[in-house]
Amino acid sequence: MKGLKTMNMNDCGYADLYEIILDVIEPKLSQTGLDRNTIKPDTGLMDILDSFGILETIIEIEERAGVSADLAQMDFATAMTVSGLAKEIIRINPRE
Amino acid sequence: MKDPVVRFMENVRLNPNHPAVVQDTGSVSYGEIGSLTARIAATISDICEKPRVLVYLPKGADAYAAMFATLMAGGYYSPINIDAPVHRHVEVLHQFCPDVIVSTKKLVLDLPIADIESEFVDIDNLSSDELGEPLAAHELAYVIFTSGSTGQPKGVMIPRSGLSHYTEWAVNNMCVSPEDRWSQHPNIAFDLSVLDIYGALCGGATLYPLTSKKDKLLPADFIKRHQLTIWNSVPSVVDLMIKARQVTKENFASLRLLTFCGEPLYPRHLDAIFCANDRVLVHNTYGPTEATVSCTLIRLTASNYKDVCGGNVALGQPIPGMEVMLMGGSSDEGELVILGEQLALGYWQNGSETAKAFISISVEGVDRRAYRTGDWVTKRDSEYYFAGRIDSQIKIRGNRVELDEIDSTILKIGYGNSCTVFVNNQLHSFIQTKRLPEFLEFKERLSRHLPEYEIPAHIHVIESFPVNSNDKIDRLQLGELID
Repeated sequence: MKGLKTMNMNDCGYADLYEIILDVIEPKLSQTGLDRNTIKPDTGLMDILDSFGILETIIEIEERAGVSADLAQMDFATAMTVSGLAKEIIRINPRE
Repeated sequence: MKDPVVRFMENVRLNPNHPAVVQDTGSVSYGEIGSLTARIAATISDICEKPRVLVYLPKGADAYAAMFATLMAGGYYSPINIDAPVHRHVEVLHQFCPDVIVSTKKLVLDLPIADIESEFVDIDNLSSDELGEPLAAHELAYVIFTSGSTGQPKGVMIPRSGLSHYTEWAVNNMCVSPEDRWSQHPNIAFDLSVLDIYGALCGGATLYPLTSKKDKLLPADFIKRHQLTIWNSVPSVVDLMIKARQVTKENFASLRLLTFCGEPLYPRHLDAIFCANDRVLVHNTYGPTEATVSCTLIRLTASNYKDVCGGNVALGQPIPGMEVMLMGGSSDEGELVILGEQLALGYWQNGSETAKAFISISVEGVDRRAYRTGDWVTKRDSEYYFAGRIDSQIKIRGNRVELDEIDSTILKIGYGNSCTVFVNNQLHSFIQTKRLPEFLEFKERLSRHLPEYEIPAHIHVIESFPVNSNDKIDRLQLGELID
């Protein structure tokens, strides 16, 4: 991705991942009237994105953060908020 | 031709311990669902003859039992998608005016039924009386309400004979057996679910409704977990699986048949499916709700599918008892017109719409009843290919959407005249107003009236609409305004 920071899990903590998720979600919100500042840690992904948007978000997070974000491996109930997704990605990608 | 209730009850008698439905709350055997069906049927047949029933239940065994029970009691039903906006439920409720609402105490609280003379049947509190034998059938089987261009849902009246014809074809054609484990993906108010419910339960198979958000987002995971043998959905769901990287050998290993309807199937879907499982059979089917789910079929395998792929995959040939013809074009293209036993009887209490869509045409000197689909189709090497719509109806994830319905609703809730277009798989509404409405409020107000898939992703302000030579709003020009 041009001009975007790319990391891997060894140098990517919760705060970094949270920011990456916001970076990824932000352009998808631009035409909905929502913006980055209205997104809270407990904002539900399914409230702001459709199924395709969620999957696109996850694929972009994988590319940017250099991590695996396989939804099938995650605790789905936790992963469906912005902070929960960051936590679940960290859980399924233990640091080396 | 065997009636679906007779087929279902035969399975109840022959295989009472076999699982009929496996859902999040557990497994329901044929004996159990048969007993539930007979108890609901006893209750509603005591209320009135030929009951008109609103099925207001979530996807699952209770809802399926309520449908079979209504038919068993000699009535007809309308199924409601409980996840749709309540306003939509109210419109259906007022149009359909049911004699009976089958629901639960908790769910029915959402329905403003004070001014409706309907009896409420609580599925959790039925008497133990069972109806022994099916009562004489009503002419209708069900009424499914779809998007209507005036903003009012349109009820498609499907005859019992049409449902019997379709069920018989499905069970035989798909070689359904008790060994089959069959998905139930579409909501129960979307007629694609009719194939799942009647195909599986009349064929003695086990039905697996997808109800959790996770299963809807990761359907291929669901296939693997339950080792499903039959999958039925709109093709968009395959796009979702592809995007989630779930169309894999492991996930698709148990499938023997995938069947699609509701929107065009594309070569990319088949490439992915046959790459994951080259022994699977794919049925591409075509049909509007007005022809009882589907009326054409093409069987696709890993070795033949490339021969019938144009821009999209061929629609197939009419199934026995149904015919298709082209109208208003040439021998190679035209509006697809359907004739045959599965045609709807018309639209619920809507004579003018019925007269527009259901016409009489002369075939070899004989006047025949036919349905104008509004689908423009091309014909190459005897195969039909979907080419577009002749009106402003579109499909979003298989759901029929009248763009005019969205605009009627925007006007009704006070935002002014609008024109909605569908570009790059997204809805854009152009609103004739001075100031852009606050999007979240707009979205929230619209979502009280329209289902989620009909909410525009984008709104734009426009001073005046471009018009064509007939002085009609030119949707094509509007579409070109979008980057």
